Amino acid sequence: MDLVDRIETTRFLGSEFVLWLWFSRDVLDGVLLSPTKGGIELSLESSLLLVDPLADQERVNIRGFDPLGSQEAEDALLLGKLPRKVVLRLGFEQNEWVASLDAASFALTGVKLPALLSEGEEEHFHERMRFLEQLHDLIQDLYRHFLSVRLSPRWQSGLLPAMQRWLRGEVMERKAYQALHAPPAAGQRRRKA
Amino acid sequence: MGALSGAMSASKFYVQGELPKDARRSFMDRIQLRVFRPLRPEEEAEERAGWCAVAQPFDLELSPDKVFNGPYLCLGVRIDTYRFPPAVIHAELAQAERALREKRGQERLSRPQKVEVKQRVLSGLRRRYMPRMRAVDLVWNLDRQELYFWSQSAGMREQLAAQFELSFGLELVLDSPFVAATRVIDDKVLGAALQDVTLSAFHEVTHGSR
Repeated sequence: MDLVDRIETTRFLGSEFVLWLWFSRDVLDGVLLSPTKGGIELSLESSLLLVDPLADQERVNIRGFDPLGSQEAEDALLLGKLPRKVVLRLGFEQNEWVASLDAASFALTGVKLPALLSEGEEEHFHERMRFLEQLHDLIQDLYRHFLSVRLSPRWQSGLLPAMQRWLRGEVMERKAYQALHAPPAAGQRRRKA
Repeated sequence: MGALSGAMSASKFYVQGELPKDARRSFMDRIQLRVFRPLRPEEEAEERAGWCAVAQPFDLELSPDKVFNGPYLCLGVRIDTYRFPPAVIHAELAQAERALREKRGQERLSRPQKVEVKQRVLSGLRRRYMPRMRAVDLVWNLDRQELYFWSQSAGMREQLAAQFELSFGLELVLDSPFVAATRVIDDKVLGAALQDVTLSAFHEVTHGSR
């Protein structure tokens, strides 16, 4: 399979990632722990598009105060739909970003950066770019964390069943979540390789 | 909306390929070769793309101090296109063909005559209409080999990729869940699993440890 095919046939990973963000937010009360960056505050808000990954025209668009807490969102997930577009609010080191993430393409639109403090034109540009790159780095870091479980045997044995139970109202214990997401010991990794 | 001000809605690309040794000088020379040249009515070209200054589509005098800013290479992609309303083209063509038939006393025009009339009509329209101008900013972080392009339009992204490859001899790869995964995974086992990963069914119940 060539690269273009693989890009097209793995777009669901973006939706699974957003669902994992949603799940993690519920388990960890909104503060995700990145192995490299530490605590990242996360809320998902105001707008949510859910799409059936096997039938693209099957869509549910929910707007409002808490779209993720709505009955429509729950019903759509139980029918097999996955989040396609979501508005993220990320907080890190006293800075806050808001952006709409398209899970299928990883495009970020309508990005609101933290308040810019610099005054000169050049400094202003550098600060804008630094904040934009930092936002992408934060999301990439969380994605790396997700993939470390998603692509390992821990997915089938632990995380997927836990997320399936979460869809039915059972929230995972924080300790169990952390154990599932802990990096495997060096010896274990070597054995798998 | 663009690199310098306004809302941030940029497409992210990864730049593939090795930078030349004296990258800034080499890139500046390459940029100069593909600076935007405005369309002229007497030319037959209906569309043209080229580089302009970031956030300044009319500034075509590009110099290193305008292009390089810290680790960033900043440019605008400008694309001008002549677009005439089809009804106007049809009406003008019909009128010009009728005039030529009457002048020559011909009942029908030959194919070469029709082609010539059409070229004359389009040239006249190009003198009367301004081309449509689109300009989109890009910022390329040369250290990280990442490029942000302030458009989500597939057409504009294709134009950028073509212009970029012609200018710099490097390839742009648009961000996506798969491409991002290949960038963040540094473990061979996970990398192999990525090649075979398939969609999970969250709405079903499978059994696993609690």
